[in-house]
Amino acid sequence: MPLSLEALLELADRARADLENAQIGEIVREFIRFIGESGLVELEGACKFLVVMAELVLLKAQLLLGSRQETEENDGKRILEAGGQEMAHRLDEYRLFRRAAEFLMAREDEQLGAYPRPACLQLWPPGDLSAEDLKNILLGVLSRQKGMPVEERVAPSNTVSSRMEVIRQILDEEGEVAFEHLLGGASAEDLIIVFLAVLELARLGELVIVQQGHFGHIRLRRQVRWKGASW
Amino acid sequence: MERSELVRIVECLLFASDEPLEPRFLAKVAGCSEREVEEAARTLSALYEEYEHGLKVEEVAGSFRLVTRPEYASYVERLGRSRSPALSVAALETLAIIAYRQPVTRAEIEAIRGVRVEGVLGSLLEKGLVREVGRKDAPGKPILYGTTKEFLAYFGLKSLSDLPDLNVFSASGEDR
Repeated sequence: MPLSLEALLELADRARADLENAQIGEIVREFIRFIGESGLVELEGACKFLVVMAELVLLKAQLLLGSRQETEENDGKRILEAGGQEMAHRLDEYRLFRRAAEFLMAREDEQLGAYPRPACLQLWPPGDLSAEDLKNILLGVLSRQKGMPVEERVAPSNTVSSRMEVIRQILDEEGEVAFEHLLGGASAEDLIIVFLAVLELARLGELVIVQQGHFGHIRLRRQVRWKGASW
Repeated sequence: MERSELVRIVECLLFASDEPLEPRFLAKVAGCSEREVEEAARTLSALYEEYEHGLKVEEVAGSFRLVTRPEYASYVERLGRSRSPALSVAALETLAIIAYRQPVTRAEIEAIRGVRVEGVLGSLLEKGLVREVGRKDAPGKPILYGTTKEFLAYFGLKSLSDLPDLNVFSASGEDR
């Protein structure tokens, strides 16, 4: 099994190169010393180390048991060679991708520090579309889907305008709110209503929708207008 | 239209957009050919480099975008911008294998990493960095995975050919 840490790979390489004389206990002590010095107690790395050590112990045991039987005196070496070669191949292959991952990590670090302009719906206003227009467009799309029953099921007590009012109150009190917060426990119908309410408030310029970076959380912020601004 | 004017138009469009813009879109808005806007975007990029601007034009996944230079990230972050969480080592290793070996099955990834990757793969699929690209013609018809355009954008790559040759990462490659 491959190791996750370069230092462990070196340890395994050393053991594989001279398994006959390899001191398993010494390798374990080196690993303990390694994590002691680096302060690394990463669970995944530790697990991989255990897997590699188990494989080394198996190979060593096969070698030692094989050498005690005169009629099969070469079996141990054959097993060692076969096992060692396979392990070497796997370790080498893993090492390649480990380094490729480090390359990606460096790229990622650079890219996460390169900020594009923040997403802002104000740049792309949906024109003169009202929530009612959006609802009708959605119903139009749904009606073209054969076999899909379309009916209006918005209860009077749960309308886009009532939900807009709720969001306004939250923004007045909190200044901003996480989009997920508005969706907590929402049914499919509520979800659509909340979504339309947010879009309508954005269109009216009452809030700004912000998502920081890839996969970031969406936050809704109350729009601050400058005095005298006409937009 | 003068070339310098087209460069300024492209600059405006990249500045006003919060997402990478494809040459096709830029060409449509600017009213010229894709080749012309690509040249304009690259000229703009060269100008930003020449005058050492705080911004740079990035070409990612066949699109262009305007971003702040990473070396000034700490200042931008003082404005309240915060970095997205980085991917885990397990996710990066899995992505590296998919990027270089695609199309690749889950079992093939697990054979290299030596651990199960179901959870990591699910997370990468959810983030849109990898996708199912087909089925392998083998018993069980396992799903084949490949990287996406989002993968290129996330790592700031123009295309997969921007990835270094895998041999570069071998011990002998390092010596070169």
